[in-house]
Amino acid sequence: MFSTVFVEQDIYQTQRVQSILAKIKYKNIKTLSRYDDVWGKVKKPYLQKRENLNLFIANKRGNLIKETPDAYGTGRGKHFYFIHSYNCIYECEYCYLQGYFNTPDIVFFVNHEDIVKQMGELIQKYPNEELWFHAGEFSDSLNLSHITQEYKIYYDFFKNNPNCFLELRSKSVNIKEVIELPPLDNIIISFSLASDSSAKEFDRKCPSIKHRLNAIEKLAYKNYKLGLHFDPIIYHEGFLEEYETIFEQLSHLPLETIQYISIGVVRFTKDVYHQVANNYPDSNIHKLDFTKSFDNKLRYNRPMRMWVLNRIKNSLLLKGFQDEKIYLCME
Amino acid sequence: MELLTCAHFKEAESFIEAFSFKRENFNNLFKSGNRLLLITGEGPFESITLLPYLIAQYDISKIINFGIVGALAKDFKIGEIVNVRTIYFYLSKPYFQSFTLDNESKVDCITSEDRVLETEYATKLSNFAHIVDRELWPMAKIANAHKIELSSFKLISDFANGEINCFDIQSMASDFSQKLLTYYKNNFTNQTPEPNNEHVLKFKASFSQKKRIEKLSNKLSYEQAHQIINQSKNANECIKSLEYKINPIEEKIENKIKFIQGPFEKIGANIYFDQKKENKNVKVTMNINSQKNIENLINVLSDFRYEQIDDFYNGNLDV
Ligand code: SF4
Repeated sequence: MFSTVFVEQDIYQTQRVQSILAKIKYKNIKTLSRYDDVWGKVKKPYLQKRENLNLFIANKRGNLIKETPDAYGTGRGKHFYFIHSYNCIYECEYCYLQGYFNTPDIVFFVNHEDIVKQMGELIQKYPNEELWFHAGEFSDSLNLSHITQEYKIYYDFFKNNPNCFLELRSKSVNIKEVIELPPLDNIIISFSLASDSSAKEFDRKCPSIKHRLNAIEKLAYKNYKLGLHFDPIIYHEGFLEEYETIFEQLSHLPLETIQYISIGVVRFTKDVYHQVANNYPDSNIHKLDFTKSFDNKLRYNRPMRMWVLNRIKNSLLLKGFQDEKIYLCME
Repeated sequence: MELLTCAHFKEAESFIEAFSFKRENFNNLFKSGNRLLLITGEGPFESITLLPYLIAQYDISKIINFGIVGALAKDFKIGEIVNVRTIYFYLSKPYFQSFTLDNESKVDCITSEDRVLETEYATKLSNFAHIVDRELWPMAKIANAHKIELSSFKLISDFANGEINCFDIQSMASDFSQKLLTYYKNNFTNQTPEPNNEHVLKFKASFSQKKRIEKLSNKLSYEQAHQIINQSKNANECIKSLEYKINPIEEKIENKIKFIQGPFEKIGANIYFDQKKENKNVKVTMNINSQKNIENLINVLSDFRYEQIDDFYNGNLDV
């Protein structure tokens, strides 16, 4: 339940906003002229999302689509992320959002047509390139999709533009909107997975690995295209055996539905590292030493993380996953 | 020493009586044993006029602010006392910096530069916090700068929209002061100290070794750390054992490094790796004082393959 819902005046009466409001619970509702008159104006501590989470419903202005950093995505094509939401109802201890925004309050941007329009412009700008559009850079792309209901808008766009790709990245099992429409080859639903112990310990409020695997299975058997992200891997005793159990389960699925698998070891910018230490001082995330690496992010030292990545990759190969579909994230 | 602060004399009356506070050299400063009481006056700038001076003069380890406030949200009862979680500031517009005083609480406060006399202003403030006061934020800023613990508990005296007038509040002031005193006595006095779980070292350790041992021990359960510390013969061994217990891969890494270093050490040379183990370059050093040294070094270097370094950095830790 949200404490207060703030809605931009201009869009308050729209059917889209009214439909969102009808589906959520909240204590108060207010209108305001621009969401950022309040959102992020003061430093609201991240953990207040537990008891005092507000929702803002707004139009996104300015740049709706941005190019992704290097080493992002599958290594082929040109990659962009688009922003239709800020912040998340889950609370992963390593989440970089805790050091990114000055508030945990959620924003739903509802001008999806503007986003889709900019996607069209990019397709025209790069006619000979394979374009990828990723959602979920600043939020989970599916966990509230039954409320925001934007999937259909993007679905229609990608149906008409089969040469570019959409990735929706999630830890949720909320696939209701997705399975209402038939699969498309260029829409990839991707899931972030972790060892069972890591998920229990660090993926606070997220669905369990068992439930995530069930959702993956459901989609795979219905022939939806899937991506798997084993990222971030956090080292713990017995981690490999736990990952192997997951790989074993996944290896029984129709493997042709899996388009790519990324593996990455936990990493933080300096700011996020301090936020994590502040928000979760007793977390086992800090158990191992981190060191400043090639891009100034804090990681396990290089031999350590490569050892972890090699073990995971070998284990995937042994279970029959194809080498060319596996890539190391941010390495 | 504990410093109690409030804005008005009326709020402090019961405290002065209960702890027999006596005036100090300033009119609005009182002392009783290990407690100071400062009546700051109303407003964000009044509240901190004396604070830096007091911090410099007295050994203040904790500041406790209390007082009456207006509620910005409807879900409070008049007379209810709340601990402040996060304090925000409104200085003509919302001020970005905030301070969190008590993560367990659920009530946020905003310090307002101006008195809240109109509903419209109260509504604006309610976008950020549940209650409004006029003193706390600057105090938090100073306490934070001096790394002094600050708590604040506030009694809700009215709804900050002019529904209760000042006259009503004044007539209830003694009652409010008594309530604040009771709350203080129940919640802030005679707190039991944390149990001491420090490990006793049976070997000599430098200050930095002790700190490292303490840091590493905190990453293990008390029992695990205790066992390792008890079995260790010296500080270095203890640190290594703790490190390996926390991260067994680190032991593999060190063994691989030793393996690569082996031939160099045999001839009195050294091969150094990047301390952070990020950069793939190594440095070889040797004191040369004979032709034999040179020949030894040439032999070792000609057997040495850079792939070993590459391999190591690519995570092959087998020896
Ligand atoms: S699901 Fe993603 S966005 Fe949400 S808290 Fe976890 S890491 Fe952050």
